Amino acid sequence: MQGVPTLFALATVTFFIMRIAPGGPFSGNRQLPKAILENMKRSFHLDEPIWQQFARFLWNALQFDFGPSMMYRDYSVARLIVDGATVSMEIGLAAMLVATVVGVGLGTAGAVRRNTSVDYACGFVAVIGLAVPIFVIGPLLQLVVGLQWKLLPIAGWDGTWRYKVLPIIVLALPNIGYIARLMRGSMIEVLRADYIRTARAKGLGARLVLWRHAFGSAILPVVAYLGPATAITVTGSVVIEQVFQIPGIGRYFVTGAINRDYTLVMGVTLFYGTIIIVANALTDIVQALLDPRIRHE
Amino acid sequence: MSDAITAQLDQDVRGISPLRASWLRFSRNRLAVASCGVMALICLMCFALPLCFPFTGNDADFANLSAPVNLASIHPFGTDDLGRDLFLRTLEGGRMSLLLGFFGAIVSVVVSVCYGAVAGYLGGKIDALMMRTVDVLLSTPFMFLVILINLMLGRTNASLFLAVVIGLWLTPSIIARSQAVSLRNREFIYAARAGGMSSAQIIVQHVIPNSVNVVIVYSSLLVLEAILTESFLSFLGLGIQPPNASWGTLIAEGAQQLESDPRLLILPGAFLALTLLSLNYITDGLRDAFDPNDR
Repeated sequence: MQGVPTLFALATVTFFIMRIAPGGPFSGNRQLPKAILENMKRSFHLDEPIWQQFARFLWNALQFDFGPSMMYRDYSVARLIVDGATVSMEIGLAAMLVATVVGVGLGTAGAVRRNTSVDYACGFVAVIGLAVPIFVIGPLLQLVVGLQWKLLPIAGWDGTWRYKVLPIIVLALPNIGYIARLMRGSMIEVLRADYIRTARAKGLGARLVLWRHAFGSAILPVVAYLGPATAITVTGSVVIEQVFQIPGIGRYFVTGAINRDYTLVMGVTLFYGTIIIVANALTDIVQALLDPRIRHE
Repeated sequence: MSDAITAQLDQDVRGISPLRASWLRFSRNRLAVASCGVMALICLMCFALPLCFPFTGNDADFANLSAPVNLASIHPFGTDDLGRDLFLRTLEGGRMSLLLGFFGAIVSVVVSVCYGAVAGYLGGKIDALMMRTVDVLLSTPFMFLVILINLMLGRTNASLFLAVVIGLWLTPSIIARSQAVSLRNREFIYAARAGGMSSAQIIVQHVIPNSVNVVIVYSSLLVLEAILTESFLSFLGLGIQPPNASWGTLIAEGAQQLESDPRLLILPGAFLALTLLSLNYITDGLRDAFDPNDR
């Protein structure tokens, strides 16, 4: 519920900045006769005073109606968002799942076998994921896996798994790096704690101590990271969508803003805002479930 | 690590300054020192080597279209389909990326320290307003800010620079502000005020110089992020505009001609990846050296 004023502020700022920015949706490639321009403006209510336009937008947005897109003819903004978001979410969620499993695994392995070759190998994978940008790794994987080995298609989208593997891996890599670092750091910290020493002193096996006693508290920083990171990932990565030619939601945002597609940008902005607020709220809830110290505050 | 410092202490009765202790810790971190070497080499190559070529990266050599890799020839890594030297183009693109990275980071540090110092020293409503602005900007999607700047200023190199700085100055300004808050009630600030200095004079002469050292460790990370942001935006076509080139635009070109000539991708991609890796290790080394309690 706290999110409502934030969403309202976001919508207001976006709405007016879009209008202040020079150019308009119909000032593009070709010069239109004045009468046609007037008609087009009228059909999108752009001839009304700006306050009236803003009130109309708010009223319609409350009913999840963002109107027709100004650039993609015959599509409503809601339709474009739903189509794009389905694809982006599918890839984004899968990538975050892979990143969590692999990142937590690498981080734990590094922490348990600290300062051994295992630790250095895990650290190296994490640094590669963090430091090499996805627009370098993406095309490189296309080159090796797609062109040289011919295992998977280079780019494109038909909804089958073959087109999803490479984007999911590339999107997961930076998150793997970050999660592995977080997990290693917090696991090392937890393994030093007194209650772990107690558990060991009781004669419990190393595996039981690790997974039963240490894992629960070591995972907390990762959970805190997962919320915002998932929100960013599922709202569509423009780079991934451009490299792999995926019809996700990220590109609508960029092309919409460049074309001054007012309705599309407003719709996507509100969608982004909602996802981020929901993800933050979910993170708080999950953290409270996992960590009794937060719950009792 | 601490052995070295105690050894130094035994030798030198006067003791060592914190800065010297940090430097000793840093110089014992082999990975970080090696990364400094790699970074120096890359800078040297990007800034000095292009002067040795008798032509520029935009000159077409029609006698050698799509020349293969031949280290002994005048085009060591070959040419593209327009006869432009690939290696030279990568170096010149690197010059642009590195310049933007360093200047973006420097401007971000200056802006963030000044902003944080003013907000932290003045406190009260001004502080609340200034930091709330930072919070709002931090929670706005970065791509959205970039597109707004592009809409306002057009797609120029200036709007790219502005976008890089806007993306970078926020986090260090929070660090600088908390430092300024902790300085506000120190005796030397009271003394300056009692001596009749105005707030503006105190901020410029006392608060800002004492806040810089906190942000300076963070600044190597800023160089990394500036280079990354620049190449990311250039890759999307929102950054450096032709005929200028940077690693980002070169990688974008290379990604499109993947099938015909993978060298176009691999050469600038390798340089960018190596730069970011080295900066990453340098940042880690600096953080460990200046803030040993962190680990």
